[in-house]
This record gives sequence, C-alpha cells and structure tokens, in this order.
Amino acid sequence: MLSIPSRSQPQLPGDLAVWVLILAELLVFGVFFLAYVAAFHGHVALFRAGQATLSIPAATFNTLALITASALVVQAIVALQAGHTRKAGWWFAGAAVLGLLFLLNKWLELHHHMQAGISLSTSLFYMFYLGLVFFHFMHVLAGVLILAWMSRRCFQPRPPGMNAAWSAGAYWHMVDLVWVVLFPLVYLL
Amino acid sequence: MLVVLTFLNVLLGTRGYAGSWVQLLTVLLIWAKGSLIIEFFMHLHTAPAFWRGMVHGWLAVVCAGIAGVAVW
Repeated sequence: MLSIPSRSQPQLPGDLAVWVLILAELLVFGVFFLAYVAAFHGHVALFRAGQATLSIPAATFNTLALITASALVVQAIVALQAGHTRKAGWWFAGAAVLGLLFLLNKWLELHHHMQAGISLSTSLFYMFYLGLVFFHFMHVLAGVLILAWMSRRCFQPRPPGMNAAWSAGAYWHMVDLVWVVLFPLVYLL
Repeated sequence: MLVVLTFLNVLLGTRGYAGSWVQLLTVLLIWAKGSLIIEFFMHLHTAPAFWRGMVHGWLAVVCAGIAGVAVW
C-alpha cells in the first residue's frame, strides 16, 4: 500500500475548512446510503430488477480508475514533499485524466439509461440510483478540476504549498471513499 | 490490495451466491477498502483522534446500516 512518510506530531493533513467540508459531504452521502438500504429492504424485487439493468464491468472499470487516481495523488504529494514539483505536476495530471475517464464512462452509462427512457420518476430504484450517481458525478467533476488546477500550479514558478496539496488530496480521497461504498451497495448487493 | 478487494467484491456480487453471509462478506469488504483509504490515502493515521474517529465512525455507521438490513 502506498503511503506518505509520517510526521511526528498528530496533525490534520490539509486545511481545517476542507476537512469540515469533507465531514459534511460524508454526512449527506451517509444519509443517502442509509435511505437507500431502507428503501431496498421494503422493495427487494424492484431493486433487484433495477440492479440487473446496470453495467457491472463499467462500474468496476470506474472503481479501478478512482483507486489508481488516488494512488497517483499520493505519489504527487510525495513528489511535492521532496521538492520535485514538475514530477508532482505530472502525477496530478495523471490522476485528473483518470478522473476524466471515470466521468466519460459514467456519462455514457447515464446517457444509455436516458436513451432507454429511464428517469428519476421511472421507479424508486432509479430515483435513488440516478440521484446518488449524479450527486457523486458532480463531486468527481469538482475533484478533477481541483487536480487539474494543482497540476497547472506545479508547472508555474510558484508551486502550490503542502497544505494545498494535502487538502486537494483529502477531497479526492473522499470522492474515492464514497464510491467504494456506493459501487457495491448499488451494483452488487 | 484495494484492487484485489474490488475484484473479490465483484466476484461475490456476480457469481449468483445468495444468502445473508454473502451480503455480510460484501459489507466486510466495503469496510476493509474504506479503512485502507482512510488510513493510507487520506493519511488519517497521523491525524488527531477526533478527525480519525469521525471518518472511521462514518464508515462504521454506514457499514452497520447495510449489514443490519442484510441480516434483517
């Protein structure tokens, strides 16, 4: 497992405000997840039928893309700590590209559902599925923009500070953490 | 490790295995993957106990909720 060299004193990696935002986001996703399992329990047949229409290979690819992107972000922070700013820029760029691949793949999946006439009002399952997936999609989009901005700054004369790098990384890993729960919950259980 | 756990998740979810134990195993894999992300990617193993506890607590509550419905 990739890891960043530890610091001696317990210290929050990144800006306090970003961690407050992360906790708030996790809370919202947590409520969504628990509402989903409660609805699933009441409508097992409906949810199973809905799950059967989803593409597990596409979602598996997306999981691997997000996990790999997270590993690249860790490499970027390690490079930045070592003073290799251009190298860090390339790692951030690689992570952003993988994030873009996730978005493209997810957009194709959503487009396929829309072409089939599926919407939020089609059934309770699709209301949860489309709501959860689109909400997460918007977070990945924000994460990709942050990573692209970090990458760009690494190639400029004044590179980003470690606090900005930790904060950007923490946000991206939050997006990854949410997907790691969302994927098995909606596609596999 | 995360990639291996992901493929285990997919294997359990697509091979037609049924029963509460499969769902509990799936939840266990979710918890394991989430814990690895929190500790090593988010780097919370060096963070103050409050923040580490909050994020781990979130994961525990979500996993417990899913497991509860699976067993019910």
